[in-house]
Amino acid sequence: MANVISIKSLNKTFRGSDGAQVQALEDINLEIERGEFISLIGPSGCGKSTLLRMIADLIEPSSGSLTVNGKPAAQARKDRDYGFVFQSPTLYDWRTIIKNVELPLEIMKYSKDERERRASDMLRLVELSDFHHKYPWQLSGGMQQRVSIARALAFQPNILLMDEPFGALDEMTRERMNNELLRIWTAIPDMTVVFVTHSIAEAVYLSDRVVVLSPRPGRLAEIIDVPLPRPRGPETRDLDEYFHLTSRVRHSLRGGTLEMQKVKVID
Amino acid sequence: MVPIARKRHEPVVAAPPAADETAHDTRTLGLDMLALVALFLVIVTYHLQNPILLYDVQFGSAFRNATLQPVLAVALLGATLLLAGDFKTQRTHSVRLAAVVVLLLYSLYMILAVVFDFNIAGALMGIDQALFLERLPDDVIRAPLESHLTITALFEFLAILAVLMLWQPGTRFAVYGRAVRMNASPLIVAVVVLVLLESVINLFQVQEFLLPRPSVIAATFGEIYPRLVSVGWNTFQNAFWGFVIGCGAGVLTGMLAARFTGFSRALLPLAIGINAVPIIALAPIMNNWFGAINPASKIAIVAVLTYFPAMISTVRGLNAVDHLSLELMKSYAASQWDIFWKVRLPSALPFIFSALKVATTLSMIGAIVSEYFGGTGNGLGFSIRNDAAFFKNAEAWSGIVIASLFGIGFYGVVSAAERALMHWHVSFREK
Repeated sequence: MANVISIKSLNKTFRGSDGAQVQALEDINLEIERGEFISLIGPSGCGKSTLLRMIADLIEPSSGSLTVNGKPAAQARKDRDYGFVFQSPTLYDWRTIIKNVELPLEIMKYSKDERERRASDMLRLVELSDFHHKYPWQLSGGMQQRVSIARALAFQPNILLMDEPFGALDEMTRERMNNELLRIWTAIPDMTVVFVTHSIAEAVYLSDRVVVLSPRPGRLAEIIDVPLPRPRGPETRDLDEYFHLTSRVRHSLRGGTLEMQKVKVID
Repeated sequence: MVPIARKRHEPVVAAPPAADETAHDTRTLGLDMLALVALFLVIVTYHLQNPILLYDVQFGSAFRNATLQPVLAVALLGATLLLAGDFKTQRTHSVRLAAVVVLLLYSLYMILAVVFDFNIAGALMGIDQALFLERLPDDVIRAPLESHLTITALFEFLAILAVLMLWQPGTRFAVYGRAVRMNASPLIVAVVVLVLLESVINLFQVQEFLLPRPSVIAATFGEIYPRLVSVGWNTFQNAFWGFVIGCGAGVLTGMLAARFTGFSRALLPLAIGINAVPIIALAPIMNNWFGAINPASKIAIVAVLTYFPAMISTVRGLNAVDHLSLELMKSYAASQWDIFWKVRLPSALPFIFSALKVATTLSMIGAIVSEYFGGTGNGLGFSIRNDAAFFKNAEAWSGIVIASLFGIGFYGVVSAAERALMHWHVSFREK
């Protein structure tokens, strides 16, 4: 099977405010297959968001090679191969919910009918059909994040990049959103998800593989397979295997250094 | 068990609809303002279309200014269209539809009569159109014009009814209650200040030429307001065109400056330097450039005065875009054009509008003060200066009152535009 994302000896250094070079990521090698659900996990400042942003070509790597759908990342961005979900919903206050979902479709010059059809399909998928003409600030945080997922999927990319999308939600909402996300991922065949999180439970529950990054400079500490049966649901969290895997990820995270450094790297 | 269950159950069923009505009552005084403006315009235009009212009645003569008349007629049409608003919902309701039709006919009649000097009612009654255009000569037979007045009065009453129909003030007491609660304290303060002023001036027997009592100013205003409205309108036009030119140029160059940072770096210090000049000091020079009698000399002052705040706010607003919003657009490989229209401009609107609102008052200041340095003599600044020079202080104060009324009106129009364009903004959300 073709690899959707292929990362070879990737490095990223930032220039700090004092002019010193800060190594954010070091020698990352990662192959992601079509249809896979991959989580990137690591302590604050390990560069997991940086890695995701490089896949999205929002920032450029310092060295190494990175291909998305067999193309350089920049080309994949221009071809609109991926949808990106940010940590905050980033909805535009001046647009109604449906207009927010239509935003990428407007930019990509879809016809008006097509825009409306796709946007209402997507809102149905995230179960927000009753909110077409509401404004973002009239919705709860979880609903807003669902809108931003609908927006990311509106133009049917086959890759979904998510940067701690549920980090700001409370535990209950987060678990519900995890189930929503799995449902959506299953509904769209062959969709690859790269999911950045700092929640071990979330990473294990969602993923096929969990990629553990070490503290700065971020290196691949370990890639852990998650052979939990699918479809997953609340009962999955009670499986022995689930406990076993979460503690494995936890140990792997400790494998680096125990101290969590506070750094200024984008995360 | 049972009573407890019922207790728990009852409020869930009974409470939400009632709570919903009050919690989601997002109506504001916007409709009331619009309806009042429409009523005012219906009555004013009625005075404009018949020379008896236009020349012999004080209220009518206040709006005789030749450039003001067409603006009022067109404003009536605008208010009508806004009241008609969501036409779909009006169409389902035959009474409201009838009201919209009546108002539309009335405004079209007024536009024909006031803007195009063709009075249909007069033509149908066989009255010479020339009679409608000039002050009536003393020897003319007034009877036909008086019966014309009676017949059009019917039309006017219908139009007033139509506005009331679309307004339905009787259903809006909740809105008024809230508005009074929110605005009670400033109103009380204003009344207290006026009463205090009145009694202090009485008590210390302040000479009237030094500071007239508010009641004297009000009485004088009531007498001379027709003249003041006319001169105020002349000055307001200078303020308005200066505002349009200054703010228009400010917003456009602001956009350029935000787009080309090199340009902005080169321009900003210069702009700040120019802004530090007390602009009004340029008035005599503008008079030399354009001629004191030419309104361009006043308009130029206002334009220079309003340019800087508009420009700097536009630059600030366009650069105040949320970082993630821009990354989102980048992830869509959006063009610069899309980024500008879909993100930068909407998020700059709050900044631009706050500058425009400041500019409305600046423009009135500029237009009035520039007249202190000479001009045609038909403006408000000239009028205030003259009245004050002849110790007609009550008149001068009345001029100041009309200046602030024009200023408030201008500010109100820009605020209404802001509200219409930015209804989504956090400052307009119902708490």
